[in-house]
Amino acid sequence: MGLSYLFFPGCSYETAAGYRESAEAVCRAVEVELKELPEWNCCGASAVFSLDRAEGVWLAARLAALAGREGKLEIVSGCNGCISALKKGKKLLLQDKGLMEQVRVRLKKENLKLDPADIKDLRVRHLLEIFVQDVPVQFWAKERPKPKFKVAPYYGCLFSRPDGEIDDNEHPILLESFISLLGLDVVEHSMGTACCGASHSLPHKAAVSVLVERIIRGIQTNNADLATVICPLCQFNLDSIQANFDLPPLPILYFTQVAGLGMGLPVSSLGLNKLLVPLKEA
Amino acid sequence: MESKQNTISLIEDDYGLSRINECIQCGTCSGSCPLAHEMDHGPREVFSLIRDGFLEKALISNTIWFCVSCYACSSRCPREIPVTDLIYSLRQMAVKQGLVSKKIKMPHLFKAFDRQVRSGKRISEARIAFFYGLRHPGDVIPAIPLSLKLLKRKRVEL
Repeated sequence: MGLSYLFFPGCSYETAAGYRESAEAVCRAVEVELKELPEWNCCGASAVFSLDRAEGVWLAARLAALAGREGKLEIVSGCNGCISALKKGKKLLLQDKGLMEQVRVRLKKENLKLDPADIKDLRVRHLLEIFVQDVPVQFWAKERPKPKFKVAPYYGCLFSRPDGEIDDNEHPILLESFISLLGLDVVEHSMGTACCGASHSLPHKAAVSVLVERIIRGIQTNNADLATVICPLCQFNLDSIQANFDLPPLPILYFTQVAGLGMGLPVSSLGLNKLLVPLKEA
Repeated sequence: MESKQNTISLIEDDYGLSRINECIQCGTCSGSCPLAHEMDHGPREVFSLIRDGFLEKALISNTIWFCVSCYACSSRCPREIPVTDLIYSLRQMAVKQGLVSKKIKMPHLFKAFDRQVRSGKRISEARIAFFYGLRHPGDVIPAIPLSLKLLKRKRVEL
């Protein structure tokens, strides 16, 4: 019997370039079940929290209550933005009794409930944490011919910020560990937690293009064949904005796609055809 | 000379802004900010303005809307001031007091996002871009070729 988790996909999971396909293929191979959180809502991201803190907290509280209804105090997600918003909501709920009460009244209307003790114990984890910390090592480390890709890890800004709860907030190593577990070469560089520009890429394309160019250039300095990411917005910005400047193309893959390649899963099961910057050997 | 227009006491406020009094003006936040060069004032300067009584000037600046929420400033602040969270507080204060300049675009994107979450619980990037684009067609029309590529790769949901 394998591991089973309550999974909060978030709104960008479906449109992400092969995230769902590859996550499902890899999870099958390592006997992890991701059970989708029923009736989930958007986390609110930076938008809702910017305009109305109480509404942002409500969205996080509702997700926590939905998880509670499934008998779980743990939510797994593959999006830095969702994880960050959930953790922010949790923190504010614990700080502010008034907000907590407001939220509980509103939850009642949906026949949901949230115990203050439960929100305290709620764990919000990235799928990458599950892969590195929970999945038995032998699943990843099997003897098999390895692709010769040199892989640059890219976390984006939010992975372990602001509190360094998951990993070091400036120099995390979880993704490096994972790439090594897969038996692939890790490319060191200094752009791992530089910000991709997030949703500013629509209103402020030129400004964000500068950030992305710096990241791509930094990664390419040490001859990476591809970069691997853990967040749909990072993937979208790094993948799509490369067309704005003149650097050699750098494929931006989800860590789940890299895992699939490292494990020798059928390439067709990894959604690589959805990338804008194609992976040549695929 | 601009008059001092603080309408809140930094000691007792709902927004946690009293933490600004702990700022030592070292500039680590502004030095860490990926978009500081686009801002009217870096975060250090915004804090300084508020402390010196020019709250309104801070609220109408583009600074608080250029923050991209990367939390680099919060992670590095030697006084452990939650800079990003305070920027969020300033945003809400600016909205509440009607001090958002029409020229600033991010609130329009946020509103398009927020409206979708409230009406349907989930969002789609395409719909947000569409509603934002009604107001800022110049930002969205150049993205049409990209949208077609995404459509071809089944990366668009309506």
